[in-house]
Amino acid sequence: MRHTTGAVLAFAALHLAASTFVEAPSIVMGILLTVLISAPLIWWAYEYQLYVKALDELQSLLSLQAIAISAGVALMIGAVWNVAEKYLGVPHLNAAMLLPIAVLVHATVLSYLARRYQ
Amino acid sequence: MKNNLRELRAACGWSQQVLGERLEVSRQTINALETGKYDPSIRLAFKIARMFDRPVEEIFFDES
Repeated sequence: MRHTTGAVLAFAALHLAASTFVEAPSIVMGILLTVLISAPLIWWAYEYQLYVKALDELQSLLSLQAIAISAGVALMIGAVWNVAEKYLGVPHLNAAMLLPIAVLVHATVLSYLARRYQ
Repeated sequence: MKNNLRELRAACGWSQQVLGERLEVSRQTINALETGKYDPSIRLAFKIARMFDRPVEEIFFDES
């Protein structure tokens, strides 16, 4: 879906800009930053559910399967990485990184599933 | 499940794309149905049956 890359990039750019230029924000600024940085993702989630609703039954099924698998993989990576952080001392994984990981897995899985039905 | 969707479509001289448009599904779905990789929902099965004016069980049948 064409908006995915833009939304993830916007989120990443806003997140990076805020963490670079904003230090110790007030409560109000913190709320504004949270809403602003999350906005591309919330908009993307809304657009994606409209997109899936407009698909036919097979394409919708494949999309939902891809979402389920990508969410599961991202959660597994987060959980395993957390254990590795504790016992292996690997660098801390920012939770925000799980989203681009899920997006990548989703694209890969959807591509594989779609090819099975070509 | 097996089906004779391909034969019915060919008899009408329709491409997979055309049949997909008539059924409001993608060409990919039509191909998946014809190759037996996907079984349609009840709604789609009845839609197909109405389109070809045949009972559902004449178009889709159990492999056993």
